Amino acid sequence: MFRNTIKSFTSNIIRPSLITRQLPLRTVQRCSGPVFVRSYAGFPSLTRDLAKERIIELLEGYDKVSTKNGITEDSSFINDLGLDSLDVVEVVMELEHEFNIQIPDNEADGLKTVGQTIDYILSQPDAC
Amino acid sequence: MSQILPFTEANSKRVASLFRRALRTAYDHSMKFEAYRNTTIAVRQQFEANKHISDPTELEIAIKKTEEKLAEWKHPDPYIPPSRPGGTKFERNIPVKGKVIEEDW
Repeated sequence: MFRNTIKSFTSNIIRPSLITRQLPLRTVQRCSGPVFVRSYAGFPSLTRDLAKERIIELLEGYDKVSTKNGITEDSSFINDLGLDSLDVVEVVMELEHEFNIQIPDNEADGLKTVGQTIDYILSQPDAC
Repeated sequence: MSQILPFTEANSKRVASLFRRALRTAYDHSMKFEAYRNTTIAVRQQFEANKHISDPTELEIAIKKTEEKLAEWKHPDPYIPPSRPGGTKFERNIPVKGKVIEEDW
């Protein structure tokens, strides 16, 4: 009985979107060869914006980082973000894992701000 | 000199280097990232325990102990990023320089 009620109820409803909307006429294209719709092998190359976005996302996930002034390219790990030296080591290690690179000791000590880190990562040819 | 000797820039760099090596060793030994994170926390606690050291000789002893521990845990086959020397993708598909000679003999 309930089913019948529902049936009679729904049959009265006219769904305007189905009726009034006209499907655009499609012209059939003749394909001479195979057409590739989407390539899953393509990986976007690392741009400065992309690198910055990923670094900031990583820093925001780190609970010791104080984000009250926001994270910009000029913000220094120790002075602005409130990390200590061992935290910086941890963050740089995470960045290595994120970008599939390895940063040697003497260069990792030179990374003091977010902008310097972005520059360093972009200078690595194999960073992805 | 205003700074106390063990807390100089050079010494903090030494300790940071030790910490980095400890984290690398932990990463080499752990198969999963969660395991690595837990080891990281343990390593960090061991470093934090020596935070108060202000005596230079005591600091040297602590650093030596850490070096010994790192030597003990040194991984025989450490992780190398794929595109770095020794990695699995190192020098793969190098672009050919110059013109390729056609086979016309």
